Amino acid sequence: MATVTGTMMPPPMTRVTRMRRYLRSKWFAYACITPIVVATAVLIYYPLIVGIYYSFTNASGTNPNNVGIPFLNIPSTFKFVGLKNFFDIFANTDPTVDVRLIFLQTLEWIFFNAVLHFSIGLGLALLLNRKIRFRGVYRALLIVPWATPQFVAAFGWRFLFNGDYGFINLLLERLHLAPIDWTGQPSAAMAAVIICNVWLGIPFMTITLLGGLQSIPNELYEVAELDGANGWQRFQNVTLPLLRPTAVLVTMLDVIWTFNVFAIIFLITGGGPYHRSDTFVSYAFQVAIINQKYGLGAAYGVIILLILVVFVMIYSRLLRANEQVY
Amino acid sequence: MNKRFFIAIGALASLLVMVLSGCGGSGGSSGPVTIKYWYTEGAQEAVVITQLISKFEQQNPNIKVDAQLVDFASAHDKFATAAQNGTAPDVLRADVGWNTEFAANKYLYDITKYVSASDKSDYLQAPLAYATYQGKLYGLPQVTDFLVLYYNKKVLSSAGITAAPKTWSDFDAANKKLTTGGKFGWAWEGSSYFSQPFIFSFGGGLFDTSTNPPTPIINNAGSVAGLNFLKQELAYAPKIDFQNGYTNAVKAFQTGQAAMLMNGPWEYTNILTGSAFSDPTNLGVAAVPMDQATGDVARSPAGGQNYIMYAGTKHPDEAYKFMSFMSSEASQVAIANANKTLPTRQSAYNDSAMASNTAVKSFAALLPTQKARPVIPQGGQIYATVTGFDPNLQKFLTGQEDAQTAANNIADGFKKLVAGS
Amino acid sequence: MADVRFQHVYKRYGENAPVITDLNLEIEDHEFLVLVGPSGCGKSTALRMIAGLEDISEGELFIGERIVNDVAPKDRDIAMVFQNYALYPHMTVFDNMAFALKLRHTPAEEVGQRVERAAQMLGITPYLKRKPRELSGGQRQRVALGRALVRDPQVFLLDEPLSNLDAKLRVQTRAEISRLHQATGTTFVYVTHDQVEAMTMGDRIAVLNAGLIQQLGTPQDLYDNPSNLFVAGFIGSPSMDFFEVKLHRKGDGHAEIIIGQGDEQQRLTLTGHAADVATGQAPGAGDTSDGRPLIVGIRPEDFTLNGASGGDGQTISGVVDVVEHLGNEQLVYVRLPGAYVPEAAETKGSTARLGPSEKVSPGDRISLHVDTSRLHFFDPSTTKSLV
Repeated sequence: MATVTGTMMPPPMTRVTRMRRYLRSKWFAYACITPIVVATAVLIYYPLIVGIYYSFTNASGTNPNNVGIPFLNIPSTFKFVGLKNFFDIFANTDPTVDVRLIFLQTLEWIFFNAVLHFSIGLGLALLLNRKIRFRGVYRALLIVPWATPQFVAAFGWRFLFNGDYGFINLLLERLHLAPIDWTGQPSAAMAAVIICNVWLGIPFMTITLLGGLQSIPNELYEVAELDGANGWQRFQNVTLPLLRPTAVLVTMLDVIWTFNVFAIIFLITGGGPYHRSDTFVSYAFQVAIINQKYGLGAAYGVIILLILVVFVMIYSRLLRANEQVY
Repeated sequence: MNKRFFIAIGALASLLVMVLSGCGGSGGSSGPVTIKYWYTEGAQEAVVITQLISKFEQQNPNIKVDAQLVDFASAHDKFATAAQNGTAPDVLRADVGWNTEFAANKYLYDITKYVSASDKSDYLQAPLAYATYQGKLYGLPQVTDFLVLYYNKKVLSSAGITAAPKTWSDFDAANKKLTTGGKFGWAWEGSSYFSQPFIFSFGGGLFDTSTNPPTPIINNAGSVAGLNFLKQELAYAPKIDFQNGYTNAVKAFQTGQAAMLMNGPWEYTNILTGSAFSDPTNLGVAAVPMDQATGDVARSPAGGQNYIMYAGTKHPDEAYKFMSFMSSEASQVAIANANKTLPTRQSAYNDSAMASNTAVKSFAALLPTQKARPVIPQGGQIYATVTGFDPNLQKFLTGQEDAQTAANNIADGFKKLVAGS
Repeated sequence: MADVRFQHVYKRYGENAPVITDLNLEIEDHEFLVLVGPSGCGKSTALRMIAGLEDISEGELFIGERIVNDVAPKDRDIAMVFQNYALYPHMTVFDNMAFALKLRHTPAEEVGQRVERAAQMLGITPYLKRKPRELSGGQRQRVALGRALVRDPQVFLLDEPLSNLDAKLRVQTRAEISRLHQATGTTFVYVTHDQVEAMTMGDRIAVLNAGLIQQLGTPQDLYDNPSNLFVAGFIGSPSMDFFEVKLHRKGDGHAEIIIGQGDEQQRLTLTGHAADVATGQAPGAGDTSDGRPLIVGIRPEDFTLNGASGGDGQTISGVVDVVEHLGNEQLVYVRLPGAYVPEAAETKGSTARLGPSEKVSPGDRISLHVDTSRLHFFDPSTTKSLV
């Protein structure tokens, strides 16, 4: 560039040349992310948008959408119904189910799972954080429920809960106690699905809380001991406050995951008896897939999505707040 | 620059390949045609099916059958979903209740043109009616079934009961005698389908199909009387586990825990594997009891399975060839002899190879007790939770609702079902 | 306020060799005692035994007149400052300092006064409402000190409290801790691996190595009369220079030492106290026979640059490796014959401390005059000092 161009100015950059220059320097980056963008659009955004669209229609098993078999050339017969599906849900018009109960059961499901996951997980984490014999073995055993696929665990527990031949009722009988009507009694059915999900969720809780416990410096316990704190006071003043950031985050995650659980409820109680162990998610599956009310099911899906969006917003806020703690 | 360019082109190309391979696949090949078939028999029953399939492949070297076992309980939803996105199998073994629904949804291939008049007349009328929708034929009946009363001969006779109960009051009396010392008179499956003999035999029903749309009669006096009688007799059955009711009931009968069971021919071979029936002659088969006042009416819900063809099939001729082979007289006889299920062809019953099949003979004698289910497009969903049939039955059985309230609620669900809302 | 006594104390973990062996140490009331030694020498273990954070395997530990082997930490009336401060991250500075008092149900008014007083003493009053994460390293260190201070304990334990601070802050805080000791008059036990801290702060220093006390004494005592090779090498910066030598007794009753071998051989004639030690005229000198191997220690400041080429029996010569100018002095690393490097020495090789105006460059061959009356002798086999 050492040629004698004197004071000649470069030509004014037009929008096109700027664009071209930009593309020339960045095209490779765009080429690299294209596959991901395309895959995300096809696998996530397209179904999401179609699902939201269905929630405003009366699509069902009897007026199916045949666009998937173009060679049949059958026009779709479902109609746009606006917010009818949402009105139906909130007005509780379905004679076969009480949506208010489903809502309460969802809260119950989340509450008991979160509380039991946390308290049992914390208890185990505290035990495993001590120097005990065979600690490695216990930690390895703890992974078992975690490594078990949800549906396998659900089938396993279903065997245990079998009213006539299940291990639990046979044991109760052996102990001369009344057997429990796991599938016929609403509260027992709810307990059954919660027990299974608690069993599945404990490992994650324990391992995460154990990690949290181990990140608490030992000196803090020593200094508290020198300050005159007894075991309970050390737990209150050192363990709990320092575990709080971990605990809050992990509980929020747990709430999200628990809310989304479907397989366990569906396989163990099927939501029964008479929908008394259903949650929004398990009931939405029945509406959409078993009852083939695609439009109504999609409306449930949208409601679930909105609830999850709220959860995730809380979660990310906590995550951000956590970065500033201590 | 060159190198980066080729990397990028390579990445895009591989993506393209992935996308295309997902939707391509079945080009017009000149080699043997492959027919995809989903069968839904239980493991015990499926043995003869796979034997027949390989026999078909031997006879037709140009047709391959890609047969997959699909769990009966999920086959309906699986097919409905697959039919919409074009991935359904060419042939499915479908419950008779689904036949009309799939036909109404235009998922099924109209096979009327393939079936000759003489062939058609060989099929029993009730099963053939299930395969017909708006005058067209959408399936070939494979088996027909209905519920019978199975009983443990030894246990009944040692309780002083010489013959299987003919009426519900016989049944009640037998239950009272049999339920003693930890044993039960009978075992019940605990779901809507198995409540039908009670609903039907006291003069009730599901729908009156003579009106349009069909009118629910599940809440009429006969139906409610049947439900109340059912609940009364459950005092003589093991407590019902709604999730595992079916397997538990069969198991209770198989092990001798319960002396009587209402179930279908499809369970016959499985029941014989139970400890109580190591001597197969101990298993008795009788008609579902009747109500003395109502009389000997058709009261046992007729079911069965049809071979149906997917509307989106690319090889209808080959698919039909396979269907007709599977429902031929010879195949029906083979299935009946292996599984003790009921053929749908008159000729099969008369076949000499059936002469020694006493089980099928005893079932065939009970065919008049069959009551056809309503042939409506929503037929496949009558027993699904959408109608509230099972949930309300559960409420009634656990004392949350009385029979009339439960029946009224089910009727509401039925009304919404046929209204399509 | 109390004294602390270790009597035949052992610390063992399982079947392994003891971490602390037969520790006998009396820390006097009001004293500032420094436990110093390389890492793993057992100094922190000893401190934690006083705190009650480590069990005592054998022997007895007294605080005052009380045997405290089985007394819980909180009942020992001691306070401890940790290396990484161990402040409660979720509490304010005030709450950190007040925590121990609150646990003892001290009236709120008194808690406030005591925290206020300690904060004033340490200059952290403006930070009382802040959380530890809002403070700098030096401020956190003061809070940790303050937390110990409000307790008004009998014994103050400090475990390497300065090692997380930068050099400048370390010097400041050193003085601060010394002032604190004077102001409170409490017994201080201070653990460090840094001999400079030990020398500058301690009334007395106990040098530990491999679980054994090597020497206990005032800083000057340790510097002037190290009892063995370890202490001689550990105390002083730069370290004492050591040489493997042979004793040669001359016919005239004088003694000299032969440094190095063959062509490199150099000789130093002994004078003064060193001569007395070498010739057996000082008590406890032991074997002084001719040809006896010895290790000789020379403090870097006992060298002076000598223009002459030697031959007076007071000079050794070598080639300069590195020169470090420190402004008020220069450290000259010299390659000298027979140099011996003990494990604990801070500097490897021989160092001479010369005046700032001497002109020395790397590669020069220089002659160093040695103050032969100030030599230290050590037995090569026992490593003990020959007094």
